[in-house]
Amino acid sequence: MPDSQITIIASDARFNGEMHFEGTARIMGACEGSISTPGTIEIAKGGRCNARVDAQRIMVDGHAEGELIGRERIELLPNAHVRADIAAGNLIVQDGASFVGHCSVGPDAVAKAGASSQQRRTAPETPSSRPEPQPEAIETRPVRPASPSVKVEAAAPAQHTPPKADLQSDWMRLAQGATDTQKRTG
Amino acid sequence: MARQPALRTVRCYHCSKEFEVGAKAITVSCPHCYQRVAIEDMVVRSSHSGGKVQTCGKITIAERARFTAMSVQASGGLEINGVLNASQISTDRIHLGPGGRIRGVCRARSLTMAQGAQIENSYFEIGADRPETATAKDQTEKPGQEPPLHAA
Repeated sequence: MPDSQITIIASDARFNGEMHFEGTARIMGACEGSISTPGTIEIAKGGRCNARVDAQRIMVDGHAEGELIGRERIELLPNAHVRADIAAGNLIVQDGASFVGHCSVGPDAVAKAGASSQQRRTAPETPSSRPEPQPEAIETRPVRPASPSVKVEAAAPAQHTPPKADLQSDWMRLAQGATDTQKRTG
Repeated sequence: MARQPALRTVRCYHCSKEFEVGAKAITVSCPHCYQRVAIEDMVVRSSHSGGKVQTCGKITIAERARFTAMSVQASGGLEINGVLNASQISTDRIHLGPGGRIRGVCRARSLTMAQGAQIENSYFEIGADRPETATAKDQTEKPGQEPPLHAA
């Protein structure tokens, strides 16, 4: 692909959100969020990416954090500083690159990563797809006042039963009195 | 005129300092930390399991070989053409051949992989300053460790 068709996030640019490219993207600035492409993503020297990157090929020569999924391959160039979880078909780490994170490489790894990302994508959608109770139905439902008999039944035992604390204190007083009289007589 | 003995440079897996030893030496004492270190190269050719494997030399796991260990420390590098399954792997350079598979917590200076090699959901620390920190950590974590098991 010629240079003119490459999408470039320049060094003074900062992006936060979800991006999708059809071709190659070169990140020289800062990116956060989610980036996906069926082509190549290059995180150039000086570029910073704290995102979930899903691409056919990923080349890192800057700083990357988050999650990198390279369906064909991931290449960490000499200036790469990667602190991310990697899933790739093939991984190339050149001398000088540093990488810290969980790593799965191989054809199965990419399939698993794809499946897990699919689950993550579908998981937040399920609560919103559920039919929510319509407020109109609640409004149209006739509101019946509570029957007075129920109220009386509920209130009547409450009036007659003294609170537990009072009962306990009465029994304590009685017991104390009994012990006092025993002491006097004894 | 006397012939100069062939020397090679190795890195102690206890103190991470380099020193020279004879090319045919198998074990020596580190001149820096005075600990006994194994400097032989090891080759695993079949299925093998071990506790703690340490050497200043290189460990090679041959094709179709399967090596399972608690901890593998190879200052001279690690070449994996078979399967390596270890809780802790600390080395200088890791090379995964076409049929190489690795699993475990891995610290190394560099990593190279051939097409077809596989890494099974492992935690990696790759970079210039990693092995020293790894060995230092290992030493601090296990003061009363069991004697190393050298296997090949």
